Amino acid sequence: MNKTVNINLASTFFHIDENAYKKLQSYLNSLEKGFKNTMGKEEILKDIEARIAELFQEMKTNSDYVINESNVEKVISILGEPEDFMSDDEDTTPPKESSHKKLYRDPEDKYIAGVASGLGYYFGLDTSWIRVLWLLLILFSGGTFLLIYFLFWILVPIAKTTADKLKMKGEPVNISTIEKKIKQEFEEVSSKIKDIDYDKASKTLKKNPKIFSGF
Amino acid sequence: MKIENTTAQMRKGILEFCILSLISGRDLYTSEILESLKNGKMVVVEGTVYPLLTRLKNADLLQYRWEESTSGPPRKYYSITTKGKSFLSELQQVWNELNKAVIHITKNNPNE
Repeated sequence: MNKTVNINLASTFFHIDENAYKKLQSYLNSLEKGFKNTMGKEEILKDIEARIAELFQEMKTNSDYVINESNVEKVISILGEPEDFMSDDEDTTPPKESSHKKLYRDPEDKYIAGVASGLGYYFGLDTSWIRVLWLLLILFSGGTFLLIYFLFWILVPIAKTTADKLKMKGEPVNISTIEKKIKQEFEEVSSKIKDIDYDKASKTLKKNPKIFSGF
Repeated sequence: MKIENTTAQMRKGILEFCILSLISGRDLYTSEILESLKNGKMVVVEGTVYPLLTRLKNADLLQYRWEESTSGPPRKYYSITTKGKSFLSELQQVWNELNKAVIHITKNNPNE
């Protein structure tokens, strides 16, 4: 047994069974979500509804015809899922990217805790100057700034993730910048591996031939 | 890299041009536009076209009027505006140049 619902699509009446109705409802909802940021969303949705009504009308073989699930599936395949046509549509305004800087400590460039380099990114200054400033302040303040340094150390989070590092540098966090950053880090690591002193390593091996003699 | 993405991008760029060109011939209602585009293999799913039509209309390149239909809901008939016509002729020119350039470049490429 199946319940039938009456619906009104673009001022046309249809009988539709319950499962088909649910499917259609969720399709329309997904379209609405997909066009959320598109200009003229209301109109687009109305046009699509009218098109659905037209397609249903073509499928009706008699006036009592009840739209079923396969009819709805057919219509969806003709119109397409929102993801089929929403990708990189110019009308959609990209989600606001957080590009404002955040204060972090930089684990990659540090003498003590990375406070100075983090501040450097935050204020757009050369880290060396900030380090000199810290030293001077600590020397002349008689320890007060040493305490402040420790406060920074404790309170300012370290930039752990790639997103943190991008935020620290004030770059927008999105897929492409994260990808770029990860590539960059990968290259740094691989160049470090290349820089391993092979001569030294081989000399140690020659000195201690026993290391390999076991094999 | 997926071939579908590239071809979709290629189509998308010239879709507006095709829509304007279709409507400049005679006034058409939405389903007729969709039909021609699908027959010409310009679109795979119809949903692509609706945002474009609305955008062209909002840019005053197209206008529409409602007409009653004997079967089904009232139809939206699109026609091209004067602004749309001059826009279309510019697009036509760019397309001709691009077409020539692409043929020229791909033909003379020995790596082909």
